[in-house]
Amino acid sequence: MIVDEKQQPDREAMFMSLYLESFPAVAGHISKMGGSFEEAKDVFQDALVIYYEKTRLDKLVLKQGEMAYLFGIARHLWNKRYKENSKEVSLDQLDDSLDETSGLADPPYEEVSSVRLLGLLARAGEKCMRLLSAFYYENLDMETLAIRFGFSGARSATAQKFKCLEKVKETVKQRALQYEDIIE
Amino acid sequence: MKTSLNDTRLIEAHLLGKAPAEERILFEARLILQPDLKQSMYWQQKTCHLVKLYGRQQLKKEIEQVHQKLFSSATPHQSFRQKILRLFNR
Repeated sequence: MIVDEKQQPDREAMFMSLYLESFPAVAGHISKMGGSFEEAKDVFQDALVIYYEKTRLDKLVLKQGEMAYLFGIARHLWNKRYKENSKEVSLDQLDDSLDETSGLADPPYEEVSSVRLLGLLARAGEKCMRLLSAFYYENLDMETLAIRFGFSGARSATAQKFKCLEKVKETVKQRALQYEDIIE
Repeated sequence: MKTSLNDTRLIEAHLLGKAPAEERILFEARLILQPDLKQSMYWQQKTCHLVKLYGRQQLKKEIEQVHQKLFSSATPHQSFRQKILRLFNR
C-alpha cells in the first residue's frame, strides 16, 4: 500500500525565492516591450519549468546564475510567442530550438488524446501517477522515493513502482484504443 | 500477469538503456519474434511519456500556487506585489 506522500516544502520554497528574486526583472522587461501582466506571468512560469527540468533533471550547471538564466529564457519565450508578427524581427532571427528541446511547445496532435488520458489517469490512479512521476519525471532514486512514499526500502518501492507501471500501462492501452475508435 | 510484469521490467531496462549486452541482444530478438512484446513496449513508452506530462502538469500547478500566494491581496509580500503591478498600470 502506498501511504500519503510527504509534502515537498523545499520545492515550494525554491519557487517562492526564484519568483521574488527573478520575476521583477522579467516583468519589467515584458512591460517595457508592451506586454501584459498575464503574458509576463506565462513566460516566467514556463521559464521556471524549463529551469527546473534543465537543472534538476538534466543536471545542467548554470554558469551565470539562475536569475540571468530565467531572464534569458523568459525573454526568448516572449520574443517567440508575442513578437512573431512584429516587423522588427525577421523570421530568421527566431530560434525554435528552445521550445522544441524543452518540449513546451506541445504538438497539436498530442493535445486531444493525451489531455483526456491524463485527466482520466489523474482521477483513476492518482497515487500511482504520483509515484511514477517521482521516478520518471523527477528522476528520484528508489531510496528517496521510498522515504517520500513511506515504503520500508528501495526494494519494496521498486516492486510497487512496477505494479503501478503495469496498472497504468494497461489503462493507457485500453483507453487509448477506445479513443482511437471514437476519433476515427 | 507474472510474465507481463517480468516483461515490463525487461522493457524498462531496455528503454532506460540499463540492460546488459547479452540481455539486450536476446530482447531485440524477441522483439522481432513476438509482436505482442513490441506492442507492449509501445504502450510502456506511451505510458512513461504520459507520466512525464503528468509530472510537468503537477509542477505547473505548484508554480501557479506560488503565484497565487504572492499576488493575493492578503499576501505578506505586499511591496513585491505592488512593485510588479505598478509596472503594468501605466
